[in-house]
Amino acid sequence: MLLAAKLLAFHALWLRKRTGFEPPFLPFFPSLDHPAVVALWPWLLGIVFGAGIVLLAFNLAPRLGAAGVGSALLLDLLASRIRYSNNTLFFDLLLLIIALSGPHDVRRVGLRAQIALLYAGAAINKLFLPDWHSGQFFRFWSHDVLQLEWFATLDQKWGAGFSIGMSWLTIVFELVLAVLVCRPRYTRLFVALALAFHVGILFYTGGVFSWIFLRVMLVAYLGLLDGPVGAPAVASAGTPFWRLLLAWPESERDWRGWLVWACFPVWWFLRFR
Amino acid sequence: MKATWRNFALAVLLGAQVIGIAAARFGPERYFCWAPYDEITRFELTVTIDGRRLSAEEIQARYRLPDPTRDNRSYANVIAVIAQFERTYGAADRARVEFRYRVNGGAPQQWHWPLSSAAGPHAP
Repeated sequence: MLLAAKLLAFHALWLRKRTGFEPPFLPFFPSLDHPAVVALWPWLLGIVFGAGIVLLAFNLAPRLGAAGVGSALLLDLLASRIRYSNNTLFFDLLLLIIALSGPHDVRRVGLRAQIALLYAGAAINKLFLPDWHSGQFFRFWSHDVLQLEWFATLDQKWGAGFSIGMSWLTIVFELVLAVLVCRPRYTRLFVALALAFHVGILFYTGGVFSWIFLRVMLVAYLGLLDGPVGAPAVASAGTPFWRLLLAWPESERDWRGWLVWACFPVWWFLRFR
Repeated sequence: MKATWRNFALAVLLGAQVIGIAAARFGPERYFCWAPYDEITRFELTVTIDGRRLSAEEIQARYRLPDPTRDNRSYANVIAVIAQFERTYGAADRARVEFRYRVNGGAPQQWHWPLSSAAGPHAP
């Protein structure tokens, strides 16, 4: 959980190293358009974000730090309709959920509920759209937006059947993922299916869709791994600086630690996509 | 942070999303309800101020839309941006906006600002 929070926070820091926070523009709450708020907003969010990064990065108060970074990012999203995106919202909420997960939440209830809501919401929204029932969305997306040549061949061969099949497959997949993530005993199956789902979308779209989402989801899955949830024990005086920064516990040198860190180069690679 | 407050905050965060998903059933906007790529809208915007038609660059500078021709959540999200801008920052300009759009390649539709001139069927 701590590593997941740090990856998210460092990613946010990387994205904002040049731009920082901007004043509200077309906010969801009109009161944010007040001139005083507009003037102070970037500074306020910058201070909360910066303090959060320091608290999290150096394990001074990781949970409070994650709350600070997540709150600043969520407030930034609420300050502008044009900055809204599902990726960003999920990213911000993950940090807050990690911050709010109690020290005894070994089953990761909050994180599981968040991921379940994401997949269930996506499935429910699709279930209510006629264009998903008829396959029209899939056909338009594949043929006109992505301009997949092989789709035209399949469309000619199978007619609307392929688009309808893919639409319902997507809805069913999302519903199954929403159910599976709620059952801790099926965590491995959930992660395997979810990765297959997102990587499948990447292959289908020829790599133009879902890189960012896959990256954020990888961090979310990282949070589901077994391991300590609470704040780390106070490090001994001789603990090297890099261990504190990377949240690398001195006692944990089993295969799970290496597995977690093997994800890091993958995440790093995805960051530049 | 005490467990009670943590649990309360967690419940608020998750509960707000449940409300967002439910609220999406009663309107066309798709914010806070986890609807990524549920419908794709291709659109064209025409903005006229004092009889002068704004260029594509001027329209982009005005509304700052991430993509000036396409939206991947809902046409109503674009309408919400335009309507809020014209009600607030751009109210003094008295702009006339024509928003022509097609959802998932379907039939062409239009929405106009100000609403009184030709209110569309899905005015936010």
